Amino acid sequence: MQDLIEKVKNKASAGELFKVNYRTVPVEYEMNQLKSINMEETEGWALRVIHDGKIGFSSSTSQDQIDGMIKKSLEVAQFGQEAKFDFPDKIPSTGKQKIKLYDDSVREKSVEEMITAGDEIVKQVLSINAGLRCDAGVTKQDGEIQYGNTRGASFSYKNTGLSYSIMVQDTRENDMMMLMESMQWGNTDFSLDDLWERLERKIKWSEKVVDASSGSMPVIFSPKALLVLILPFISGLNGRMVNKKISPLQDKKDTAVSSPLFSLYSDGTIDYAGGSAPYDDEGIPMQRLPLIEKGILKNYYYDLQNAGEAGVKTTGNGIRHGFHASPSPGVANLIVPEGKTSFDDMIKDIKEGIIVDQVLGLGQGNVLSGAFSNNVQLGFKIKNGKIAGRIKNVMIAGNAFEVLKDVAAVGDKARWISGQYFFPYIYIKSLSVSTKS
Amino acid sequence: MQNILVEALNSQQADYIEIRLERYESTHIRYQGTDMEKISSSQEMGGNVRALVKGKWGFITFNKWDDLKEKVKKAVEVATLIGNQESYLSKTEPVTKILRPDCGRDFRKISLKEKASMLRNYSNIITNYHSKIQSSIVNYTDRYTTVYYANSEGAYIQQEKPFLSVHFAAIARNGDDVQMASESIGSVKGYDSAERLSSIAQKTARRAINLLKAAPVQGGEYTVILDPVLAGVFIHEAFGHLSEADFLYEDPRMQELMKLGKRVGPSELNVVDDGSLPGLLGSSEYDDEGVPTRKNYLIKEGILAGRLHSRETAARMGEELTGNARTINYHFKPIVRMTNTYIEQGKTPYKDLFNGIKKGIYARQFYGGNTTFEMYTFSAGEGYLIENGRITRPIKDITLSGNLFDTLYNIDGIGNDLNIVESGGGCGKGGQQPLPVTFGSPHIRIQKVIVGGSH
Repeated sequence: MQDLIEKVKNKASAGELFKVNYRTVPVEYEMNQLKSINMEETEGWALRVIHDGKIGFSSSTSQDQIDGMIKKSLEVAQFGQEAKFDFPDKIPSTGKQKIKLYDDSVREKSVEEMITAGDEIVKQVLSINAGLRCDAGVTKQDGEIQYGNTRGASFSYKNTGLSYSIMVQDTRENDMMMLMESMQWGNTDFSLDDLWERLERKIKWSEKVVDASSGSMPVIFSPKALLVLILPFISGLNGRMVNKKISPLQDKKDTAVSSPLFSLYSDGTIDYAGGSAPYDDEGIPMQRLPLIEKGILKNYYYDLQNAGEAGVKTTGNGIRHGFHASPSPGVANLIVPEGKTSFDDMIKDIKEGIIVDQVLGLGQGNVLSGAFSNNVQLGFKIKNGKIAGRIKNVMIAGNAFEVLKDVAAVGDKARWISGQYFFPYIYIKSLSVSTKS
Repeated sequence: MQNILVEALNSQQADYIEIRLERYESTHIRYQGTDMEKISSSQEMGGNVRALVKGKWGFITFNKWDDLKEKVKKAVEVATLIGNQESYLSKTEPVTKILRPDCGRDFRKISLKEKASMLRNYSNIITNYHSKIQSSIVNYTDRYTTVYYANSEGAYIQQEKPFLSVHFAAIARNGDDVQMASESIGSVKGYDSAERLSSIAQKTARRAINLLKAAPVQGGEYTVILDPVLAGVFIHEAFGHLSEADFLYEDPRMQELMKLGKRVGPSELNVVDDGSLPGLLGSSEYDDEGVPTRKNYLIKEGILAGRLHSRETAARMGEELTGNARTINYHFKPIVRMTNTYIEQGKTPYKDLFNGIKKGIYARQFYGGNTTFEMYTFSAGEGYLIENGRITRPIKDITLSGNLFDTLYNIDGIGNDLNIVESGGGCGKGGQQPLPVTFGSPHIRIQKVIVGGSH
C-alpha cells in the first residue's frame, strides 16, 4: 500500500487509501432443502483526496486502477466540498484497540461443517411441525481492512463473522405465518439454544389466529421490532442532520428527549460484535458513545467532515457503507441497556394489548419526522395477562419521539439482533393500533 | 471476449454453466442544500460463474477477470459436492448478440461542470421555493455498464446498459415538525432525461410545504383512491411479488393459493408484466439467463393468468418461459424478478371514481412499499381526505395495508388514465436492491383498506 500512497502524494496535496478485502461463503437452504453454495470474493479500493482545500473521491476494484483513481478524484475535487478537517497524522494505539474481531475457527470452518449445521437447523424446525417450510442460511465471512494516508498514518485489522438465519413459514388457506430468526457473531463461541426456545414459543403462540381490536393500548416491542422506534433517533442524532438543521433533535443536547428508563449508546468496542472495529473508517478510535442517557440527549455522532463543520471533535463515527461510499456519520453497535422487568411480567401486567415481533415496512415513511406506521407482520394479542394468539391485518402508528417518552418498562434481558443491535423488550404504555372494523 | 468465455466454459462438465463479467463506470453527485456534499467518480470490474450439477447450484463471485478456468472449476466443484437429484432447466434457443441501446446523449461525454451546474440549479429551485424549506437533497447517479454473458449451451450476449437517476428531496420545517417530500426519475435513455426537471424540483418543494399543513391521518378502514403512482406501487408490491415463481415452485401450499385459472379480482382487472417494452427501466431484449423477454399477463379479466419464471422454475412447474431471471449485478445470482408491471387501462374517467364516497382517502405518490406474501404495506407521499365525493383537506403519514386477496376483490373502479412511472429507486428482493423496474396503473378505487394512525 505504501508505494500507492507515494503515488497519491506526488499528485494530490493530501489523500487516504482505504482497502477492503473479504471472502463470504453462504450455504443456502430453500423449502427444507440444501439449494446452493456460494463463494464470494470482493476487493475494493477507495481514494479520498483533499486538493486545493476540496474533497474528491474515487473507488475501484483493483489497485491496478490507482492512476485512474488519482486522476478521477482530482478531477471531481475541483467541484468538491470544502474540507473541514485534515487526515489524522497518527493512529493512536491505546488499550481499547486490542479489541477481538477475528477467529481462526470461523475462517477454517469447512463447507461440510456448515452443511451439517444447516441440515440440523432444518431437521429441528421440522421436528416442531413437519408441515412447516424452512428456508435457512449458514454463512461465514472473513475480511481485512487496510488504511493509509499521505500524512504517514496507517492501520489494518482483520475480522470474521458467522451467521445463521432461519425463516419458518406456515401456509394455510388464505393465511400465512412467517417468522424469522437469526444469529450472527464474530466467533464460533455462541449457542443457538435461546433462538430455538424463542422459535418454538412463537410457533406455539401462532397456531391460533385471534381478532385484535382498534384503539390505543399497551404494546410490547420485541428486540427485533424495536428498530421501528430507534430509526428516527439514528437519523435525528446524526451530526449531518443537525448541521443541516433538519433534525427534530437539534438544540436538545442535555435535555430530556425520552423516558428516563431509556438509554442508547453507539459502542464500537465490543469484542466480536458486527459493528465493532479498533478504528472507524477514517482512522479514529471507536468508542462507547452515550447518545441518550436516562432520557437525556448526551451526544450527536460525527465523522471528521461534519465534526469540522460543527466545530466539535469527531466521535469516531465515520462509517463507509461499502467501499464505493465516502465516509459519513454512522452508528457502531447500538446498545439499549437492560432494565428491570422480565418479559413475562410485562405480559402479566397487560389486560388487553399486543406484542409486536416483526413489522413490514421498516423505515418506510417519513423517518426524519419520527412518524412510523407499520403493518404488524408477526404479532400476538395479550388478554388478561396471557397470550391469546396471533394477530393479523393490524397496523401500529405513532411518532417515535413521542412514543419513547411513554415507556412503562424496559426488559431485563437484551439480545443481539443482526450482530449489531443489543436490544431488550420495551413496553409502551399506550400506542395506536388499527385493524379491520 | 467470446472466445475466452467459451474456452473457460468448455474446460468443465456440468449440467449447465454460465459466466457473467461486468465492468462499469459511474459518477455520483449529491447536493445538500446549495452545498455540493459528495462527488465521486468510480469504476468497477467483477464477475461470476454459476454451475448446476444434479439439481444444485455452485456460485462463485470475484473481481479479477483472470484465471476464469479455475473459477469455473471451483463453481462446478461446490455444485458437485451437493448435487443429488435431477437438474431442471427449460430449454431456450442460445443466441449470439451484441446489444448497444440507442441512449441519446451519452452522459459519459458530459463534463462534471455541466452536471454540477444543472444540479445546483435544481437545488436552488427547491431551497428558494418557500421560507420554510430548511434543506434539500439532489442526488444524481449515472452508471454505464457493459455485461459479457456466456453459457455452456452456446449463448453469448454482450450488452451495454446506460442508467441514470436523479432524486429530489425537500425538507420543510416548522419548529419540531420536520417533513420530507421526495421525487425521483430513472432512465436508460441518456443524459437528456436528467435535464428539464425543474418542474419536478418545484413539485417536491411544494409537497413538503403542503405536508406541514397536513394533519396526521386517523387510523381505520377506508375507501381509497390511488393515483397511478401509488396504484403502480400497490400492484408491484402486493401482487407482483406473489407472481414470482421462485417462492412457490417447491411449495405445494403456495401453489394452491396461486393456482392459475382462479378468480382473484373483478373482471375489469388486467395485470401485465412486460420486459419487452422498448426503452423502459425494466426492459431488456434478453433476461440474465439469455431468455427473450415478452409480455406476460398475470391477471386477465380478473382470473389468475400467469406468473414469472426463471429457467429453473419454469421447468419445475412445467410452464412457459417468461424472461424474468434478473440480477442487479455480478455479486448476485439471477432470480425471478419483475420488469415493467402495470394494471391495464380501465373505462372510468378518474374523476368519476370519487362519486359516492362518504369518507375516504385520496392517496398519491409514495415513500415505499413492502410485502410478505399476502400481506402488503405501502406508504403514500401525499394524501387528502375525501368527504361526500369531494377532496376536503390534506392529511399525512398514510400507510395502507391489508391482505392481497381481499384487496384485489375490493377494487371496484379502474380509471382510463394509465401512466407508467420511471422512478429512480428500484425493487428489492433477497438482498438485491435496487433493481431498475417500472410500474404503472390508471387511478383505481379500493374498498376497505386498513390505514394506520391515531384514534
